[in-house]
Amino acid sequence: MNVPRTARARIAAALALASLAAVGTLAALAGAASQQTTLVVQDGEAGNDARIAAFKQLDRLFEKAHPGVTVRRISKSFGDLIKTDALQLSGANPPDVSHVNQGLPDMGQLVKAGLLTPLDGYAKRWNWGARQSAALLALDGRVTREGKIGRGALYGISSTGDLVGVFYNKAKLAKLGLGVPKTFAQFEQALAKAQAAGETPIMFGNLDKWPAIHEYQTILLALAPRGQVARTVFGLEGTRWTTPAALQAARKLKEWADKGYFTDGFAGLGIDDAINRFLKGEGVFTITGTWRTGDVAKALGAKAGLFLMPSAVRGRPAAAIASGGLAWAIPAKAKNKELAAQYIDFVTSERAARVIQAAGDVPAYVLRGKLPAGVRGDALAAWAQLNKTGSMVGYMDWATPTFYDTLTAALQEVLAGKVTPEGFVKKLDVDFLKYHRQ
Amino acid sequence: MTQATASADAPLASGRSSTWVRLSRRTEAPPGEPRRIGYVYILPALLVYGAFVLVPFAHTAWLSLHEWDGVTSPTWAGLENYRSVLTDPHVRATFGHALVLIVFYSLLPLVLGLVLAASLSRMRVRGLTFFRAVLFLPQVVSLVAVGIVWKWILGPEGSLNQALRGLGLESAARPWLGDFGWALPSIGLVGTWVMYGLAMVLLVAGVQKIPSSLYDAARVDGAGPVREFFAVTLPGVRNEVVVVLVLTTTTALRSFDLVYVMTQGGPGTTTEVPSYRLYTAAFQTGQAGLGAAIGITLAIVIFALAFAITRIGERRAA
Repeated sequence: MNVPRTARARIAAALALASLAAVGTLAALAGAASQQTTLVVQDGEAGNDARIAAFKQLDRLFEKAHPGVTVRRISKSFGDLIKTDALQLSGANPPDVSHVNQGLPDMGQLVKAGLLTPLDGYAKRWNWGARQSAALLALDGRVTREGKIGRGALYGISSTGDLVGVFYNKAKLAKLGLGVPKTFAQFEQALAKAQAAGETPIMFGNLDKWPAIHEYQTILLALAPRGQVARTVFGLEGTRWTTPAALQAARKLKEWADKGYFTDGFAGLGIDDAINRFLKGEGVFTITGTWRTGDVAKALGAKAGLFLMPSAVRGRPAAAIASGGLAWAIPAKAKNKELAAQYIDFVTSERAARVIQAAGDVPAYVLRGKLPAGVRGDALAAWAQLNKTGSMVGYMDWATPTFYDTLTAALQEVLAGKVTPEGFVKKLDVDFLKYHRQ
Repeated sequence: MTQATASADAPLASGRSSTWVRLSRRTEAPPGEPRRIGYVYILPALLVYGAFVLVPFAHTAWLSLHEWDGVTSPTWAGLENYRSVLTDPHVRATFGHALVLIVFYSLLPLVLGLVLAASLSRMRVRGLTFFRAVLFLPQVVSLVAVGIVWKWILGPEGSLNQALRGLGLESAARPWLGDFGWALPSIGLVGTWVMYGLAMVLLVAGVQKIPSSLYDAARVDGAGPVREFFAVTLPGVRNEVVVVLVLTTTTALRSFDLVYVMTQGGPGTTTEVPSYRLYTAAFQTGQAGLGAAIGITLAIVIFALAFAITRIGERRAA
């Protein structure tokens, strides 16, 4: 549940889009001939204008390729989608294609309730394995019948890619006489140097609770043995959070907080306020998702860049929180499954990827060819690198249905010194083991 | 009490004794006598109330006896969810936080309102209507807007900290909503700011209907402002105090908006209140049964408190 992103800011946009959709429906009804088929497609990206624009372009291309088919798009905000999908998909009249949020609390529960259609047959028929890595397909769509994630049948596939990386202010970094950090140690040196120069090293605000997941897990991925965190997020046999790496990462997070590497008063600062200050040129780094790339490119232009947090172990590829954007799925009760599958096949194709990349977004399908300059190019390069090295890891809060609550509260406690790093990892394990070992 | 039941029984008894008497009485019944036709008049309202309050309440009660993740079919859990409400330290703490909020939402506004009302009773203020409207304003503004504005004011670079720094109180400045000790009182004080206008308007109205002869008499007897307050003003607004307490404690116990907008229950779990825990349980963590049980428990607590306050108020009045 890579939660609110900008969920709340999206509500207004969602309303506007909903009214547009209503007008569109009326028009479609008025002009519909009797042999017309309408494919209802629901997304959870309202507010992400670049992404919606690309999707709408794809709808028109799909209609052109399938005469007699009209695509009716419903855009909901991320928050609206995840709070209503269970009820909607269990009803008699679900959309033909719908975005579903990855992770055990969302997609896992829907599969367990039998509300989604397995896509393996379509994946084989159209060879989706050649488009996306096995690791990405596992993150975005593999679920067992019991609702465990990361293995089992395929229920979802995504058109776009999201990753959590380190955005940086090029001008500030150059002024400090530093290049892009190549190792975790270099990154820490950059933090110390930035602070000594009177800069805020990392712009960060944790009033909304979830941003600390990104900071903590990014540190954890730099320190943990390869693949360990990915397996634990999936709740695989024998995994737990009381590991030396998880403990060390909690200590590191606390150390950074104590040294003042984060924005002053981050505990009482909203993430949007913190990032807006970064966009206005304050601070050197900020750790957040590539769904903010468009904002960064618009505000800082050539002055901004993005890199993946380097590993603390020499020679090990950088790992990052990454997954497809929301995954396309076919509800079990959808009326037009074959056409729905054709639609999903189209929006995850190479042709669709070109449309998505041209709109300024990151397509899940890694395209060959020259990358655009600036932070957008950095985001595409980082995505390509993660695909190549297979170093994508799901969000920690996917681990159990209650893990978001447990993790975010515990992170605030460890940052404020209310709980020790040892107590922190124990808290995670209590929640985790209760669910996975029962 | 016994006398009242006896007199209520009398017409019933006579009605039961012979049917035709009741029939003939129905046509000749004096105005105000209960008649069955009355139920037809309240039927539309009762239907709406039933469909939107009673049925959902019953459904919630039913859900609270089940374990339900919101997706798969519910399984019977008996009173297990209620046991969790009473024993889970995490859930119990939310009720403790609600009690703290009662101090801020209810007692503080009441005291402030009484002080204002008492001072207004001793002097004629020009433009009273204007001041009353201004002081009442917070009550009218949507709580979400209130929450967002106060989030800015209480932020690390917000106006409160700027003011403190301006006064040289650098050490007192802090990220109020991110502070484990201060987050709950901060939300509470915003609640005070929202509720005291309501308390004041009700209490001032109450004071104004106290006959001025009582004040004159008190002054002739040599009562000072304090004595006058306890002898005349406070007894005179007893009913208003009861109304203020019932309204504000109910709001305090139900409070959700401010927590949702300002802290999401954080830092840690220090500002989680029952309604917020209900929301996360039902909509985020797949524990709809637990959420329902919290809701029912909360409704019972609110009902009991409101009942106790009105009873105490009535007993004092008698």
